[in-house]
Amino acid sequence: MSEASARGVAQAGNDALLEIDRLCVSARIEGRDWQALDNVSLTVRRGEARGLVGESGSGKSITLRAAMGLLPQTLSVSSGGVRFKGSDLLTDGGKSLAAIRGTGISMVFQEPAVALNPVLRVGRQIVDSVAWRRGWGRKQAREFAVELMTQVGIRDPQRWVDAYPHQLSGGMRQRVMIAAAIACEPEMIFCDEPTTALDVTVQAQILKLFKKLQDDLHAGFLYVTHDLSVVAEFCSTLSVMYAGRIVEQADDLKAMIAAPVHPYTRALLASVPRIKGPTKRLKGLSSSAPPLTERSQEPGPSLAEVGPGWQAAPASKEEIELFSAGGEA
Amino acid sequence: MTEASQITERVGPMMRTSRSGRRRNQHLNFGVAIVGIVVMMAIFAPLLTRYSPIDQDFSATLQGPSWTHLLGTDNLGRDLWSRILYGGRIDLFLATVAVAAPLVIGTAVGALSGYFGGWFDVIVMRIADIVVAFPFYVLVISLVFIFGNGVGSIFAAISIVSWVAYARIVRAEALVIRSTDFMDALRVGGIGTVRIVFRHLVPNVVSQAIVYAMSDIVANIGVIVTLSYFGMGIVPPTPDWGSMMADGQPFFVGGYYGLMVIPALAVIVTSFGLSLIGDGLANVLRVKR
Repeated sequence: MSEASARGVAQAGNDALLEIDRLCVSARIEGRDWQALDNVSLTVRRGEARGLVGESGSGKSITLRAAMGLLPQTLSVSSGGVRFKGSDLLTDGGKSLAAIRGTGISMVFQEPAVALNPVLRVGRQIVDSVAWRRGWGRKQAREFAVELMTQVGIRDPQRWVDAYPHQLSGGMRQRVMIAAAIACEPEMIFCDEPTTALDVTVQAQILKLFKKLQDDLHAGFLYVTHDLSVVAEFCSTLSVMYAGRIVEQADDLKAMIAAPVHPYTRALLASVPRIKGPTKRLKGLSSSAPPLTERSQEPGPSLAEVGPGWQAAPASKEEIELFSAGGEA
Repeated sequence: MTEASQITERVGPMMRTSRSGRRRNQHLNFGVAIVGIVVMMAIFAPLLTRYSPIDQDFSATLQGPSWTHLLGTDNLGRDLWSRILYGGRIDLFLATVAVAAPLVIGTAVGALSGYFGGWFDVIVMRIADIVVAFPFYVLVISLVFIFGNGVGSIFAAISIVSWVAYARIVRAEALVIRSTDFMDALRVGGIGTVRIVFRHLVPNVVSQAIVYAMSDIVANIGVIVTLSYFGMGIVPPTPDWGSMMADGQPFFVGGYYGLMVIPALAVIVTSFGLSLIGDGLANVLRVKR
């Protein structure tokens, strides 16, 4: 596809930890294949936290799951690749994927209530994968679990290490999930809306924890969310998705937020209330992404270079009209 | 003791168990009490009777209940009380063992089948369909007929037929669990498939199978007793409730009701107790979920 994004990948060079390269995912619905992801390319470097935002159904979670080999049976990768530290994860039948799971990449899920095994004590869950891989005994595993729980800010971990998930609060469960995710000292952490199910106070605490972990582990983060305030808080780079495509992405989040190029990005940013500056009427998005089966099956336009490390898709006339109209919120 | 602590002590237990909670546990407690007594009687049989269950005494045949023979004797002069106790031993043991094996096999097969799906699932479920297509008793009786009489062949026959029920129950639950987020989380954690299935999936799905196992013990007692009644099960002179009923039947018209009714009562009381446990367990586990 685009020379621009191909160059973008090349520029990222060897310091890129994760490269998603022109990834296409198709969904099989009633015997027909529909394009769920259309040439999604992005890179995450070591120590970088990239936000991946978009509304529901824009394909951000599918991008994560495809990279992790967790696509549901109805979806499959039709072309493109995912490279982690230069080696392709999707081509060798899952071998390299299995090798990096739990050692190179780990993942924090949206709903900590259902992402933990309800019948296993949390301490054992946190270290299960590591203890199994390293052949640890019960005592050693428990000590490490307590250590990790301290690291993610659970007070009095001795008391909670033997608790079951349902005995913990939402925030604590999410801390447990995060503890499990960092147990193997991953180089890359995928976050699938990890604070969406939490109230704002706990959300702020968890984001603080992520920041601390980013400093400690120097890992790459790919942070999927629909909450722009979370992105502004935690991420340094940003990709915006709409209807299965990346419409705009930049290595400088602040510059992009200050002067978004694509009309969808503009509309998305305009829908967020601001405290500073003149009071304006809040604009809503005029329409959400059409369902998969009503989308154009033509490949979308290639991303064009806006500035160094900043690409945007050229917007068609209809898109400009659609997004600039805006709905009254 | 201070007055306050006396009050808390009195109020405490009442606060803990709700009314429905206590009624639920009543089922369980009552069942455990009945089955507990029966099991204890079976285990401590040698201490509870002076007589051997198989030694014949032709000087004392077909006696009524007395202090020497609590429940009387049968046509061969064997003490009925001893035979009930020792019969319970073999019947209960066999019924329990014949539940354990299908429970383990069925749970393992069902969990793997539900987790993996695909051709393995198709093959396992078609085999299951074939097994359930036959009436349970017909299949078990023909298998015992093929294997020959005896404890081992009853065990084998029941195991071959009844693992299917466990496999189906566990598979249905496994299908639900396998697509949950925490299963994805485990896969991302790089944990091996075998470990995911047996350490994480099975503990989540096994409770339904355990509840079913309780009612299955009842069914097994029925099968064992029936087979022995028809002379196909446990080989005489080993005492067993089913063959006791069959042996006592000819004397029923002569007025010796006890020879047939007492073993039948033993079966009924034991099955009743086990059913109560099954109900109670089902309720307790349902609350937990």
